[in-house]
Amino acid sequence: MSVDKVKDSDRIEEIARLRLHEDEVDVVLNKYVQEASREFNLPIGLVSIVLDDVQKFAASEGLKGWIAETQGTPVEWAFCAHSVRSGEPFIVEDSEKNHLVKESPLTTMEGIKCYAGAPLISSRGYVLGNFCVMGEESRSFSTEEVAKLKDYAAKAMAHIESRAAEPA
Amino acid sequence: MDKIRNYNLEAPSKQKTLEVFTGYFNEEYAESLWNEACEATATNPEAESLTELEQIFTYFCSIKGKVGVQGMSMKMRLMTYRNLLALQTNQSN
Repeated sequence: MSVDKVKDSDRIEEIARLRLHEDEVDVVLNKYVQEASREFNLPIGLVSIVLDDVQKFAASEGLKGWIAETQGTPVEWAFCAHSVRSGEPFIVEDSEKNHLVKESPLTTMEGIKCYAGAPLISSRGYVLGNFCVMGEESRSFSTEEVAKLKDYAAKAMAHIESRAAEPA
Repeated sequence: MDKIRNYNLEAPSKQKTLEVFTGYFNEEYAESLWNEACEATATNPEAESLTELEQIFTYFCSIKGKVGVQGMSMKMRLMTYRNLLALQTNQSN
């Protein structure tokens, strides 16, 4: 029986080592998601860390209402969890037509329609979550745009690892 | 406690917490973590209210390693449940 990579014990240890489950406002990560949101002309940008049972936003731009307050959602709703499983970018042009996310409350209740996320991969090779942008209208994403998201993910991951190397 | 209907979200509970822990630890250790948290927070081991559960989950968050990650997961699920319950209650009034 294959184990769900989201629940992988070593991956969860890596999240703990990098202190990504802790509540911390990070101005650098916030700057990256603001830039990405502007660049893609989409209202929402996130650094989403996929813990074992929720996704937790290490940085966010454009959230409203209860999600802005909670700064995360249950993992079974999370678009980003699909990248943790595949290790690849996850692209959704129209969430209502995508079998992986069409029943997620983020689609059915919160109106998320388009999504593009690139995996945050640690230097030890664990996929910890995604750097992503999303919006409420359907939209396609070019190869160049996905490459740009990968660059943002790499920059965010480098910052997270340098931050963890500093004394707590 | 009620399920949040449109979001298919169950209320947090002791049983669910122990199920999460036993995905990573044996049952005896999971139970000992629960009892340790209840003792440290002066909470009833059969805690059911969101306030009591939040105290327990906040204690788990203070522990290093996987338990801390799981504690944050449980706490955020509780916050999600509480926020959506408030919205649901407001809408039905």
